[in-house]
Amino acid sequence: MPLIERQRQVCYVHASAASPQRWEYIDSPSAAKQCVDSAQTTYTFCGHVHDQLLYFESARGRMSEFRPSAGTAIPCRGNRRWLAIVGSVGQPRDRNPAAAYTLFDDTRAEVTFCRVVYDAKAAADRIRGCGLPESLAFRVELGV
Amino acid sequence: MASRRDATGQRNPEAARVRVAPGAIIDGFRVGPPIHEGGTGSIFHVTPPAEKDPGFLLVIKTPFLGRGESSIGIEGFEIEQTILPVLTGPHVPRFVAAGSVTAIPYIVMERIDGQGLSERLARAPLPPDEVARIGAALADAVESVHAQDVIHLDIKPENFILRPSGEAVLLDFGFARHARYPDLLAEELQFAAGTAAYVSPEQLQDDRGDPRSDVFALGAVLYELATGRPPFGEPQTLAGMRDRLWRKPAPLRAVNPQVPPWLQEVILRCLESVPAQRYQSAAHVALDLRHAEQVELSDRSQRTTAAGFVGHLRQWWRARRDRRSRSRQAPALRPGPAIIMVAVDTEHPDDERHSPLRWTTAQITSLNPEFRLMCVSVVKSAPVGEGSTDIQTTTGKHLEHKTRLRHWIEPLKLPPSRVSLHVVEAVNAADTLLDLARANHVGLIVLGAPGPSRSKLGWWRSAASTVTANAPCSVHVVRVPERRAATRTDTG
Repeated sequence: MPLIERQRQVCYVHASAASPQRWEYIDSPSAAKQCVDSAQTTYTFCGHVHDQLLYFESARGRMSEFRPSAGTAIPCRGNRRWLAIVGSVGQPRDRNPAAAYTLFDDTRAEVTFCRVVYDAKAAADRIRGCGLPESLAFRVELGV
Repeated sequence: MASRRDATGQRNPEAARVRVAPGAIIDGFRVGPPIHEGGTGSIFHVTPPAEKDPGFLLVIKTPFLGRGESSIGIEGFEIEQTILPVLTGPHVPRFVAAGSVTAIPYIVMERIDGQGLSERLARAPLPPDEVARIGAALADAVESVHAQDVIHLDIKPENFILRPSGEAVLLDFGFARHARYPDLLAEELQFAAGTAAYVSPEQLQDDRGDPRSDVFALGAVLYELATGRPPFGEPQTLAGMRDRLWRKPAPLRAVNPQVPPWLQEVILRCLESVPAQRYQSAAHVALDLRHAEQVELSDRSQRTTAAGFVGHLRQWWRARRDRRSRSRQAPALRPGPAIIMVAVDTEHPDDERHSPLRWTTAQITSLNPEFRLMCVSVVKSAPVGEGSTDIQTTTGKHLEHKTRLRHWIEPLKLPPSRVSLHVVEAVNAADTLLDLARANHVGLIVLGAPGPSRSKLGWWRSAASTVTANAPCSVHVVRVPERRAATRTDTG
């Protein structure tokens, strides 16, 4: 699977479009700026960081941070650049085991961050049943 | 700023060359004569194409896009395009259509018929009753927007229209902040605040997340309506605006002795520089403006002279200390119901529901320190045409039931400033309670429902179920727990 993919004005990358192979965390507005500058698209969707977050470009070219509410369709017009950290299905890191994902409606230019409840305990038990490390199991179960 | 692209990010080289001007046709909308042309944009009459006709009169709004255009102007336009479509209700213009800010930026919205508040302001100072009536209407509009998770952040006379009915409509959401959308003005310049004469102190410190900022600006507008001048003048510099971080405005009665103490109390409380010392919601402001006789008077109402040098020094020192201890955390937009209404049946003072109703009210009010409680008694009046043998005058009846209400609430030991008592004579209790709830932005209704054995209270029972079915807010119904009859066992 490629580390980075671009389609029209959208870039998809696991970690950061700035040196995808280095798997750098986007953990600040400046890291977000480096990512969108490298992506050269209007919208960038990434992960690696598990918490859902939205960065948006201000008139001065700086990236600002916004913590989204689940289920709200956020207008993201194409006259500025956007970077969405879409969240993680497992180990969401915010003590909420509900799986995280993000929807992008390119017709309406809206991004919706979502959380969906599932049987995290059953998933954790299956991890244990496979003989994998206990830490992987309880992180899924507790959402940490 | 990214170069002009459309909603999917494609460049549009023809962008923004077309001006919205009379006679132009844009996306089928035919632009008519201008209504207003200002520094930040213009508004024109507009006629829609048949397929987009919503059935009411329209205007089209465009940003100013001349040479050296301000980025705040276009971002403000983008904010309004984002927020106006999700606002509903009679206090905002209905959104119809919008054009991309990268192509031809425009917003088509409802044309509001009425008088701009600026026109009314030209006759200021207005009589206190008129200030209160207009003020309550403005507060209703602000509360309506706050209830939809939006802070306006540019409250000023130019942004209100008063309909012939007296209802206020709030315009221009270019500086607004929606709780669940990113703030596009978050890092703009030194501050992306509203208008100098009305802007709140915290907006001058880059805080755009506090709905109480709108309460401050509302207070500034009311101050000007009541006295003929704004509370802090119209400073032209940032330093001049920062005065309000610590300086209290001159008491209204020092400027206009006709202002009664209760109105000065309400307006100066809106204008406290520390948000925690203001009214915590516009709904509370509306409630006090509509019930002047129940406004609790503090030192604010007694001031008749402006502070001198020593007084200003004291205010500066106190404000500095308060700012240090004030949390930077913005409050949640809707922490809890701002106004709770409890319906008390004072016609039956021995009713067994009074105790559990009082207990429930105590529990609910203890959860939210910023509540206001309306205690309401709807006293049944005889329908028109039926004779009444009751020889009491209306005034005497009101006084008696108000006394009973006071007696009912007394055990809760609530601060008087948080409680208001209302006795209403009506034929239909449910409709009266519902009307009161809507008119006063009630967030929770608490009332009792009689058990099946209380058939003589059938009137109240139907009121409880009707209110529950039609309330504009949550309803908490209190019932006396059923007591099971003891069973006898045969021993012989």
